[in-house]
Amino acid sequence: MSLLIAKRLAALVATLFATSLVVFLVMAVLPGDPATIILGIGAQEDTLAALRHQLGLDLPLLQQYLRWVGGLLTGDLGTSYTYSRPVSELIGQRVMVSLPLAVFAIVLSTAIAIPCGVLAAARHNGPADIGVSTAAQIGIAIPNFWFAMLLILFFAIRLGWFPAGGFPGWDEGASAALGALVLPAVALALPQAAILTRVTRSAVLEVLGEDHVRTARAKGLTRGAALRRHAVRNALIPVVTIMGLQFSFLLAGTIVIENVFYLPGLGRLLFQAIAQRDLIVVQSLVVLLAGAVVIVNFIVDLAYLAIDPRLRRAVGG
Amino acid sequence: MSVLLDIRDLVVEFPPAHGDGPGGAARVLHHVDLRVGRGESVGIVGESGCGKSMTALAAMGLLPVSADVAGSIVLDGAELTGLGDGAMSRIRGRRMGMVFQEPMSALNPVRTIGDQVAEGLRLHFRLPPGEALERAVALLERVGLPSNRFSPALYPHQLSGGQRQRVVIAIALACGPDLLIADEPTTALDVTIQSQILDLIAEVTAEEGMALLMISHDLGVIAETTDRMLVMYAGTVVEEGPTTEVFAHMAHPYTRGLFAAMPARGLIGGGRRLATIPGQVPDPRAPRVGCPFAPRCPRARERCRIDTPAADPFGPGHTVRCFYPGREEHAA
Amino acid sequence: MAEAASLREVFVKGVRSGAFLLGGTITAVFVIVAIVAIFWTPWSYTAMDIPDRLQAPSWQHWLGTDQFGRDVLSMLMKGTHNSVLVAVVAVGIGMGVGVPLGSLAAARRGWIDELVMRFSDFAFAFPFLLSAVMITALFGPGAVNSIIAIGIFNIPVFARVTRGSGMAVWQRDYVMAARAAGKGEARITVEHVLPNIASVLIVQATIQFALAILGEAALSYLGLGTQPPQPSWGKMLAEAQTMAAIAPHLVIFPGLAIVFVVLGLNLFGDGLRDVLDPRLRRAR
Repeated sequence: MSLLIAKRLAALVATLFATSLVVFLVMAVLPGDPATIILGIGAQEDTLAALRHQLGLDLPLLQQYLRWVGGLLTGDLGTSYTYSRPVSELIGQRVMVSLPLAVFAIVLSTAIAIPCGVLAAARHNGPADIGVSTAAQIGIAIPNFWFAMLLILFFAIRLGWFPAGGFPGWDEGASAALGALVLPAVALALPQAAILTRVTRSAVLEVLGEDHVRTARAKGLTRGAALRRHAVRNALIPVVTIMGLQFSFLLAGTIVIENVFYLPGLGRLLFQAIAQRDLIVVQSLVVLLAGAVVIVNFIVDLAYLAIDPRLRRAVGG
Repeated sequence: MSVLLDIRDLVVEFPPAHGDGPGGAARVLHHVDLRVGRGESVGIVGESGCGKSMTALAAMGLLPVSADVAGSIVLDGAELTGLGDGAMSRIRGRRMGMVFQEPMSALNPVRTIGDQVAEGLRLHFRLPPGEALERAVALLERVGLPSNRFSPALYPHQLSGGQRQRVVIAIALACGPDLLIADEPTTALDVTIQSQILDLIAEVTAEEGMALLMISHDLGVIAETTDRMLVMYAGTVVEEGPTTEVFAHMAHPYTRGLFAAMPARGLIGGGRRLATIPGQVPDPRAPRVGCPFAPRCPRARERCRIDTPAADPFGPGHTVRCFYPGREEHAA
Repeated sequence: MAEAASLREVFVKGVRSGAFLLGGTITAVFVIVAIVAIFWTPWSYTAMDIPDRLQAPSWQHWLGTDQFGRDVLSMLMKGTHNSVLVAVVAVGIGMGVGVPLGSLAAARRGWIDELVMRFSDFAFAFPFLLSAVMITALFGPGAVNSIIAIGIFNIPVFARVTRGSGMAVWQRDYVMAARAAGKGEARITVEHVLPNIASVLIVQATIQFALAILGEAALSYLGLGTQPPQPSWGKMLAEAQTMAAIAPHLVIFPGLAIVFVVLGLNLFGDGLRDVLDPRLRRAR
């Protein structure tokens, strides 16, 4: 079992390495000179050269890459061209918005999807099933940014319950900060919840048809108890897979949603950095986001091991 | 011997599913009567699709929700038909246990065997987890899985088919039911394992004074494990009597056909297909006229296609549903 | 038993399936609107009319006007045209490159297969929208670049589906027989494999089509997709955002258009799957 985990860890490191290399190469071949961006188009050629030297842009590519990766490992991500602040500081601030937002959205989506999916499966072909399935079908078709605008229209502008955008920061008190994240989290969670509901429903339906559920019923478990104690846990395997996949969609979703709500998070930082060709920020952010996706997939693999003992057999658990 | 399970006039139908095309409800059981006395072992034999498993599932209250059930099922004086899921669940596992055909899929793959055996005890006796697990370990030992070699923390995939079937038996025995229903318990197992499992079932039911309802397509299994037997064909009981009596004087042509189709090399095992009876089982959706076996019956005459035979006495405790029951020749 | 359903069979089953009928109708309406918008819109989608700005829906302007007095219905129609165009070309790129790649992997296996699979693994590791935002932002915003960004993401999807279903066909007896008769890989692929997996590919195409529409809307909402003066649903929503309080119709109609077309495509795909799936057909 520890061998299996070690193998997965090695694959994780390899993927991260490959990602960093690809991102670096893509950035290196792209047009756009950071020195020109910093100093403006009219700058003197010798000033530009001096700045390039200072930034290490005149070094061979391999050396530049090693410097960058070394910096990634030690937490020194360089200095943003446009913000003139350390990238690590920029990212550190923004993470405090995006991470709570993502966690909030995942919790919401799971809390909606699993009960709805289980309910629909338990009442297969009944009115509850038809209602849940229809709602999920529509939920998948709704673009999250449009849903976000409707939420703003109704809950922020009409009812005034939540702010329409912006983020007060955590210093102003957790309730204000959380309040600013409610609508963005709901907007992010809805399409994910719709997909997860469908996956949960079909997974539970499939398990309910298996022989061991009948064995459980023969023991004296009621229909509901067999569902709770046997079907739901077994159905979690496909559900966890989709949740892992959804994490990466969620990260991408923050790019759009943080723009709708003017939230100073990682998605908006990335979007602005790309627009302003702040390559050093883009590089670090993309590797960070890809790393987050890879690490979540690793956690999903560990969750499999916890849920499904059959997988432990491969390595003689 | 007092009657434990008393099934009378049981009719089970499945309403037509949409998209099934023309045809009415599928009637899978036609007025089935079945009595099992305390401590008695009764067998039901027949081809697949004859309704033997449906009868067992009806007794357990585990028919699919779409099934329409009419008639009466009485366990120890209490009527079971019409009971809600909650009330039926208190009987299931506690008063009746069931062993299934496929040990490979009958256990939950993500829970330990100890946990699965203990679950019924915790449910019916409200035992604390530790105590339930102790009893589960004893039960596993009882079915031939001693804890020094078979930890209760094992998962089903770590056991062989025969060992898994022992776990399923331990689950069925856990709460000391009055009746054990075994639905083709050895069909999916290796020939060498089959007799071990049958012996185990015979042994535990005899020791506990438990009644047994053994369901099999294999006359050899029925001969070995039961006192009394029923032969079912197309949802109808066509012959019934003490097992030795039925084997000595097979009256119904279908029973004879089954016997003729049995492999000669031994009573148990090897019985694959009953292909030697020509023809097909009638469509359960078709309206029934005459004897259901008539189209396949070598002895059928005009009357068999018009009238339905009643269960007539044939020998001591032996009844048969046939106008021309055979006394003369044995397996042709 | 023939694997592919005959056209008549598909039609008869399709009429019986509610999802197929509803989804197909919605999809057809949007395609017709997209075609009509090439030749005709009620008003010019670029004509500004400042005195008539931000009008609520009326007989004159069925869906109202925007902040420059442009007719919302006309912009929506032209936006339908642009969205459908982007999606058609992007799915076309995905199929055009992905299906040959997948066919090759299924036919040859070995290192080609390994290469295709690892490439698609890598592509799937990045969230689609993240890659699309990077591509469009770095190579410049615009309809063409968003088509490329969405198209690139579709390649591994079709490569995988083609490979998976294609490999199953390669196992069949009649393919073995064709091989024994000396037919080449390319010929077997065209004559046997592709006709057999066509239904799977069509179903996948409707799903990818819906995703492409959603992707295009998100990109143009971020200002990276279709550029002015061409209208697009995403951009209409972005412009409407600041007007949401005073002119909610500007927010509602483009969003509903997206929801309807995506819903229609998904229903159509689900219905098509039921109609074409040989397993389900046998069960009936």
